Amino acid sequence: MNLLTVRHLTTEFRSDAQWLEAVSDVSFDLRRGEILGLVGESGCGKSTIAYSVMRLLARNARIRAGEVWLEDVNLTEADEDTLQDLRGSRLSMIFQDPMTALDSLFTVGHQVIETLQEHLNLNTAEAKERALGLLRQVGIPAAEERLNAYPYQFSGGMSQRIALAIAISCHPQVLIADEPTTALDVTIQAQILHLIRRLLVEEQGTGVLLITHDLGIVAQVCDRVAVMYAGKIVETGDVSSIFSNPLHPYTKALLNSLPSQGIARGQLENIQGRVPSLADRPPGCHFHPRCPHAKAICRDKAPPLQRVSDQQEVACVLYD
Amino acid sequence: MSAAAGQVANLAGRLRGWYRASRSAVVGGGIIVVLVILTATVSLYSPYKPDAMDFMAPLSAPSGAHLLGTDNFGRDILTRVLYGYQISLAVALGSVGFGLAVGVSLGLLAGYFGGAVDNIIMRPMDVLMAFPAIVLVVALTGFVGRDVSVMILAVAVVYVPIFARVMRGSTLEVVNELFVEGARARGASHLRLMLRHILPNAIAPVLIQASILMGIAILLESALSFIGLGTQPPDPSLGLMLSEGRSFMLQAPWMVMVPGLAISIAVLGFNLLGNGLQDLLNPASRSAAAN
Repeated sequence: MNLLTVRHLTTEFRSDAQWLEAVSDVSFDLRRGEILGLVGESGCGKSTIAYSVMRLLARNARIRAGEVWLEDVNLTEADEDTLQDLRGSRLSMIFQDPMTALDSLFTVGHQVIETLQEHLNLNTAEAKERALGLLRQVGIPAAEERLNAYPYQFSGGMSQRIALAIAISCHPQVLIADEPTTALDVTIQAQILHLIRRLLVEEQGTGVLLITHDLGIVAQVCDRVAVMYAGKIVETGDVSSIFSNPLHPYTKALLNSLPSQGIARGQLENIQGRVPSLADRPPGCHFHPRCPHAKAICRDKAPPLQRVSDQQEVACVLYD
Repeated sequence: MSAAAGQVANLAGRLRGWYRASRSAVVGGGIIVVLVILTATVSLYSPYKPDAMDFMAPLSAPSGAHLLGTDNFGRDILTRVLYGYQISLAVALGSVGFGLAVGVSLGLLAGYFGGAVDNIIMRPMDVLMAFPAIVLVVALTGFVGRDVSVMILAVAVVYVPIFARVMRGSTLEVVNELFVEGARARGASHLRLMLRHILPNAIAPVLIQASILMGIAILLESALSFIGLGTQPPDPSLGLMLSEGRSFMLQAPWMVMVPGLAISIAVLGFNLLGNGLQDLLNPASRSAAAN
């Protein structure tokens, strides 16, 4: 069953007098109880997808086309009141920088309770009890005391646990995690990801859209993955298929650039060239100028995602 | 320990914490608290009435009977200064209170919504801002009448655009913070975002401004009364006393020195408080103060 259905999403940003497409014709599904990884380089549109789904785009951005459905609710057409009800209850989000994602003037307890009371009909004592339980769930030691602490008294990892506690407080159906562990060190990273998997995916069947640029994280926790390049999904499928049998030249190149253990040290592989800026994306397949297999047709034609097996879809003329 | 004693100990601990965080805020706040208490209760302890004349003792120097001397009508200067503070403080509190309420709301709306709302609110503010304060106040009091409430309103009109601008600026800074986005992602409404998350985080510079503008309001009230547009005789006002004392500066210098010093002390108190608030309003030092 699809929790989140994204169809032909196109989001653009205003720059001076023109609109520039950051996300072009992106479609994907997020099912119950799975983690979908969204990977790609900086600026490829990962976060723009997240903000489009949450309908929290900046003022200079707009969704030009496409639809986003949260089960039976069309998020692209929902009004602000509906969205406010959904955000934090059925649809949650956590951010990259946990230290600034919390309001520094209020105790963390206050912020957890605030969300609980906004969405659930609880009195203060009940909400406090729930908040305490949530803090314990996400592994905050001495939760009772920490409820009255201010965000600056927490480390990055602890802040992200608090953010997670707030995000899961109303049992969301969908959690969007925008680079949730990028600002954290590796051991804390593993703990947070483990928490997301255990508390949300396994216990509540939440669907998680995990945005990251770290393929290691994808391999570790995701069920499926969508690889993005310059505003488009170029390949998607389940994690084991993609890692064992990458099809799109970009995916292949990405996996090749991973430093792997056990192999003699040498020059690390990289992808020649750089990501084109929003203003001058090449015509046709956006990847063709950097692609070792590029043909003449790639300059003119941008192939759509095509199913190549039960587990995999790819957008590349090589597999037509 | 009894509950009352516990509360006193608690308060003392708090004050010590605040003093550590900001000496100037505590000293400035202390000056103001003492002034307010002395002023509010003056009718209870002063042996003199502010307008009671004593023709037997005009222009008498400070003495046991008249601690800070008397004026040309034999009125007790200390008593008049304390009653004069009532008007000064009323004008300061009233104008800043009114200016804060209106200016902060306007600035918050302008900064939060931006775009057309920003323009509709802020362009008239710019127009108001273009008038020199004293001219605007003189015009308003001259036009409407000479009364404390008119003075309050006149000064408030000058203050509204100042508060609106400061509030708009700090709102713009806060509105793009991630925690605001976070609160929005948790389903907070516009009103909730503005009142619970942006206002408390953006208000600090406004409060500092407010404290300093209170001092300036006292100066404005004195200036207006000095030139005869504010408080009218025989009501006691610091500016009026300064003005009346000018003619007797050589025989009775205390007639100008005392109200002059009184104005300075009040303004100093508000300025010290304003300077110190910056440190106190920072959550790190606030919670250090609580411990």
